[in-house]
Amino acid sequence: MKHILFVILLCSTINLFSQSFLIEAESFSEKGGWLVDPQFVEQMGSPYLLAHGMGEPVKSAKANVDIKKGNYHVWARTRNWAPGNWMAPGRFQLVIDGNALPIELGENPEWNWEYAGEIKINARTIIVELRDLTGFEGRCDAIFFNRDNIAPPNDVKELAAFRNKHLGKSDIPKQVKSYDLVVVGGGIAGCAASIVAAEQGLNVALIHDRPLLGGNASSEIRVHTLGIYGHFERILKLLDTEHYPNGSPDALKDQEKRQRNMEKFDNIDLFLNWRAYTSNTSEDKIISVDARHTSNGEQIRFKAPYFVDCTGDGWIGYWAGAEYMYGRESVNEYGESWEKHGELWSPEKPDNFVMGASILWRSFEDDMPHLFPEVPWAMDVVKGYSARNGEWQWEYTSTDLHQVEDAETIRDHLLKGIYGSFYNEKQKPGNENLTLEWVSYLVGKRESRRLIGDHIYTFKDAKNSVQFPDSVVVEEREVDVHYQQFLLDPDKPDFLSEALFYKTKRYYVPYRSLYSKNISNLFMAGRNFSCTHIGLGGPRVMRTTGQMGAAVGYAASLCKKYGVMPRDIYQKFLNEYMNLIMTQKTVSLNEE
Amino acid sequence: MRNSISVISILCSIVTCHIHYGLCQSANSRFDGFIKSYAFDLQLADTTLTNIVYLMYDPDTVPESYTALISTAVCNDGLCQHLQIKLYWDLIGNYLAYDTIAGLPLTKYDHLPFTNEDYTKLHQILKDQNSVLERKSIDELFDHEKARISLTVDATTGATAEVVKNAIVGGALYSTYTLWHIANGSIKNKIGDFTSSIYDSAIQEKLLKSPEYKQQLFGLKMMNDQDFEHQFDLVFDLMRNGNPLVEMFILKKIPQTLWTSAQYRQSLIRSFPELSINGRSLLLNQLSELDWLDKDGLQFLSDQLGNMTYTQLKTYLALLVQHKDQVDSHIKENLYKEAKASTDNAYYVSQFLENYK
Repeated sequence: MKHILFVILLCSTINLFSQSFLIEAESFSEKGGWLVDPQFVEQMGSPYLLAHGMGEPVKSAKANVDIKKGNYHVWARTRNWAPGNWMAPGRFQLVIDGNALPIELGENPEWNWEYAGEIKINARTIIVELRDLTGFEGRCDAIFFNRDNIAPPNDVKELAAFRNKHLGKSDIPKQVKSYDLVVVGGGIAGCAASIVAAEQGLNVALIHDRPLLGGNASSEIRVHTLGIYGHFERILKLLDTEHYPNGSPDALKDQEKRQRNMEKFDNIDLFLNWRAYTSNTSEDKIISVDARHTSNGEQIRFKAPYFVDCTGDGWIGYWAGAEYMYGRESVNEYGESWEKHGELWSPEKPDNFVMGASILWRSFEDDMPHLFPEVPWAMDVVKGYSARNGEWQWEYTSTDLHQVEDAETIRDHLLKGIYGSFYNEKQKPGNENLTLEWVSYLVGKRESRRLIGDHIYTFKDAKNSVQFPDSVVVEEREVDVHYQQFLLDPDKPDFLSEALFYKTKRYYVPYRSLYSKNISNLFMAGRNFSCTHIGLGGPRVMRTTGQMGAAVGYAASLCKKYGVMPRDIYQKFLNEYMNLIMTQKTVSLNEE
Repeated sequence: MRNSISVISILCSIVTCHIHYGLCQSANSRFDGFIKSYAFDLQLADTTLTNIVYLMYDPDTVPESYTALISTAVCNDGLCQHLQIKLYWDLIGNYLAYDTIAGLPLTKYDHLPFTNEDYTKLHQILKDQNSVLERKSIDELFDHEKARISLTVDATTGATAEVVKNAIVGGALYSTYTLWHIANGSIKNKIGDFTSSIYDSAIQEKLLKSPEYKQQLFGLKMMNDQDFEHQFDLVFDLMRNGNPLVEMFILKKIPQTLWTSAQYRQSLIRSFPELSINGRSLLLNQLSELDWLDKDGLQFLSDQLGNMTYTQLKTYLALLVQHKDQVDSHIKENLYKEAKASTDNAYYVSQFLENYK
């Protein structure tokens, strides 16, 4: 018996001496000026904290951590987002109980575990602090304390397993919730789908990875909504924006309106700051979607008979194995030429040069001078270009970069463009009082994956004003496709775009473009609907995508009523569906 | 009284037109000595008159441009005035210039003649193929809440919507709108079709040597695989000196036969530093499609590691794996050097060297 006790004690002691633990940065209870950035989870493994200070160091993030006394090696997972022959722009330090570890972090290219130093811990609870040194997008994913001098793995898959082991988690959520409809993505399309489904009596879960609803229209990105209401004016007026200049703080008023109107529905469960990470399927159906809280890591499995992919990037469909398109088709594949602009409009040979993502930003003249630091890491990108604000034309895309897989690189490139251009503007005499007011850090994407439905919407459909038996979305706005300015003038920076507008008469998007061709219970609404690159040009604006969401909401309600799949609505219940859409217009508005 | 004013206005405008003729004539002078021949008829929307489009030849009797004496009506609220103007287009239907006719100056509201600034502005407007005039109807161009009374008509004429003031000659909305749509409308396709119907090697060479990218692209689109080989030098120059849109088009269109020929492939690879970022990616992607790549090409590209983006580097490293028999000490040395640089790429190169010791 004494031997057994001795062995148990020895094992405990070994555990004590080999103790290590992981802290996810986004779980810090006090985030200070650091922001949770969940945009690139699928690529680098986790949400992280971002020191988005626009050139001024942000207030520290802090966490109280219970820990056993002893000596620890400490690592932070971070990256240098602008490596080169200059000081890394996003440097920060780890501070433990007020003592800064001397090694500055954020120096190495690519996401990796950087060694912060060794520390002796004498207390049971310590305060771990992330101290930003620059205000230029320092980023910290996690911190690892280890008695042994062994860093965690850098490989993303190995790291995922490592995280689960250290945090006592698995990829399979323990908590399960069931709904009539699960909508993933809380942009205008997702909100509209949720409202309509809720009005029709469905219990809806709306999962959104940000604290604010609206997607590109939210006050975090501030793109104003364009397009017409179609059949869904009363729904979309609950959600849309006024026509303020893109980037304007007027977005905050419409944000409040949107939030208020969404919260009125008792049968919409809002899951804000939750990000889906997989779809679980059985044969050709999604049976559940798993999501994780972007700060505390809590997980939920969402079950439903029907799902709506409003993620923009088509994640739910992608994980489920839905067919999708990416890139620019050859002009000849779907007959989408516009002779006037030729290759600029649609290429002879297909490529990946899709429309780009934007980051909006503003500055203002204060009544006192402001310094802005040098930004050598931005100069290769901007060269001599200068600006004091940026609207929709601040757009970046490349044949080299994928709008999903390389989104962080795209975002960072735009930030270099912004900070560099602003720096150049500040050097001009008379701009001493000019200072940055707001710079988004969220990528406002225009185009990425497009899930394939029973109908692929094309430019010809718009140009010829094709009227379908299942026309549910109506639009009048020009077909609007962008190209990078440098294509015609190599002296222009690579982060500026120009638009081509093809004027058409009214055009229509059919319901058959709003459900997956091969995943039988999946709807899609938003920029990831079933269309070609040029086909996306007209309907991609947010009132139009909102119409798609509303249309899908009505379809989902009929699916529930009859226990059928989305395709059956077109094949067997089209009259009732179209009638439902037409008659709902007169229902009174539910807004303040 | 009103009639007197009208007569005086017309007389003044005739005198003014003589003064402007010098200005007008400047558009004509570049086509001095050009022979012209009938090309096709042009029927415009607001007139029953048939306008004739002529093909103009340069002094070497190579087709150069098109011209037409346009007679059309400019109508507003049922009031129409006759307008005559000479227009010029390039070989693919892009507007080049205009000329007024002696004794027939352009006029705006109340028959006031165009000023010199108006004529200059008109030319700039007609040149703008992305003008808002294209996608807005004439009704959308009025601010209906404002009104301005014309001296010669009883009905009020709506003032121009704010949004388009810069896109028109002030006081000449209808003329500007009509002329823009004539200069940039269906004539463009008709000219393009006609040029295609008479297309030959002389026209092709002219287009490829043009400084205008749209003409370059037109010429490039008309080329088949044999044309690319015969005109390789010209196309290669265009690829390096044209804008990135043209460069990328060429890189996508160069036929496989040229990529597999050592002589052409070497030239293409060696153009890498001169290409835009997207051009470099396309070039590397094309090389990835080849079954065989020689050492020289891989060596040259290894000298360019510092100029590659991460994605380009990945493509290049994959080429090294694919053609590992061609990897020599020159290439390895460059890899080791890049692995020690303070760039994003250094990390990947280190990993690559680690995995492929």
